[in-house]
Amino acid sequence: MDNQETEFNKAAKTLKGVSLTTREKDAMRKHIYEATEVGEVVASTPSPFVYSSFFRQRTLVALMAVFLLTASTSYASFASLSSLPGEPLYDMKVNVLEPIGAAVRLNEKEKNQYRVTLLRQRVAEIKRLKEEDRLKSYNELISFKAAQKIIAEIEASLSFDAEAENLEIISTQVETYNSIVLDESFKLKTIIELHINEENPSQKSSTTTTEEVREIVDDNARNTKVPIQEVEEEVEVEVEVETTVEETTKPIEMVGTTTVKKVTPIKIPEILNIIGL
Amino acid sequence: MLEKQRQQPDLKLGFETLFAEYSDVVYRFCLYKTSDTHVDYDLTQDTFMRLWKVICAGKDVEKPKQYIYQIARNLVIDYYKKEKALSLDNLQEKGFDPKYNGLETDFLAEVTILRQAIEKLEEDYREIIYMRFIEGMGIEDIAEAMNISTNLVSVRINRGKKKLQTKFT
Repeated sequence: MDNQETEFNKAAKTLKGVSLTTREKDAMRKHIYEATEVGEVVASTPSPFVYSSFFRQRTLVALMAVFLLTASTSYASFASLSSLPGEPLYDMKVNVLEPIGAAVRLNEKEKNQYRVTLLRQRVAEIKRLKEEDRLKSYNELISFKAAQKIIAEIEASLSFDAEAENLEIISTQVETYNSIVLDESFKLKTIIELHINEENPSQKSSTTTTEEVREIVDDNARNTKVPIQEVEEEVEVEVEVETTVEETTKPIEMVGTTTVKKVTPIKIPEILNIIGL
Repeated sequence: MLEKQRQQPDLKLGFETLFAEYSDVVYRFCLYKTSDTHVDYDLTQDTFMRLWKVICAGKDVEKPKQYIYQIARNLVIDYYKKEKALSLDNLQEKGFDPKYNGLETDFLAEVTILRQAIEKLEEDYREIIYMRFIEGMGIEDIAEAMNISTNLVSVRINRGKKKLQTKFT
C-alpha cells in the first residue's frame, strides 16, 4: 500500500513540474495570432451601423482621401499619425492611410520613393518600441507584417528605380530593422542585395584594381605581337614626358597632345589601344 | 469598426493573461490524458486558438477557467474519437512504445501510474482528484472549473481520496 501511494505521490510531483518552455509558449502564441490573422478577425465583424461592407469601404476611403487632400499629400500628414504597432490606429494607418498615400503619387518612381519612406518609418517604429520597452511578440508580429508588406511592394516596383538610388537605403534599413527585432522569425527577408549584384555589375567593375588591369594586359599581350615589356616601357616614357610638361612652361602642344591624353589616368581602353587592339 | 479596433489591445491583453496563467495547466492536463508530447502541445495550442477566436468574436467569457478546461476536455475527447478510442494502455497492449514521444520512459511510466490510479475512480471523482492533487487547485477554483458548488467539490475530494487509498490497499 505504502509503495503504491509513494509512487502515486512521486508521479504527481513529477507531473506538477512539467511546463512549456518560454520558447514553446512564444511559438504557440505566434502561431495562434498568425492562424487567426491578428487585426483582421475583429475588423471582419460587421458593424450594425453601416449598410454594407461595400458602402463602408467606399465611404471610408473617400473620407480618408478628403482628409489627406485637405491636410496634405506629403509625408508630414502621415507623421502626425504616430501610432505604433499594437496600438488601435495602427491597422488603419498601414492598411488604409498609407495605401491611399501611395495611390495619390503620380508615377511609379514617386510611389517607389514613398514606399522607401514607409520602410524608414517601420524602422523608426520598431526603434521606438524598443526604446519604450514595449517590444513584445505580438507587437513584433504586427510590425513585421507591415514592414514585410512594404518590402514586397518595393521589390515589385524595383524596376522603376532605374538609377538604383534607393537600393543601399533599403538594404541599410532592413539590416537596422533585423538588428532590433528579438524573434528570429520576425527578421525581414528581401532580395534587394541580390539585385545590387545582378543588376549593377558595373558597380563592381568600376573599382577595378591595378592587379586586375595587369591581368587584362597580360591576357591581351599573349594575343598580340607587341611584347608586354615594350608596352610598360612606353607607359613609363609617357609618364616622364608628362612630368616634363608640368615642370616647364612650354605649351602642351609642343609635347604632343595625343601622348599626354594617353598617359593619365591609365585605363583599360587606353592600354588596349597602346597594345594595338 | 473603430470601437472594435480600440478594444483589440484589451482583448489581446486579456488573452495573454489567460494564456500565461493556464497554458501550463492545459499542457499538463493534455499530457496526463494522452501521454504524447506532440499531441498535448497541439491540443494545448488548439485550446487557446479556440479561446482567442471566441474572444475576437466578441463573446463574453464569464468563467474563463471553466471554459478553458471545457475546451481542453472536448479536444481530448475528439482526439480519442479520431484515434478510434484507443487509450494509451490499449496502445501499449498492441505494442505501442511510448519512448518515441521524446520524454523519458520513466516519466511516462509515472504518468501512467497516476492515470491508472485515478481512472479506477468513478467519473465524478476523476477530474476533481486530478485538479486537487496534481494541479493543487483550491476548492473554489475547482468548483468554478467544474461548474459545481464548493460543497460538492469538498465532498468529492474527501470521498475520492478515501476511494483512492482503498485502491492502494
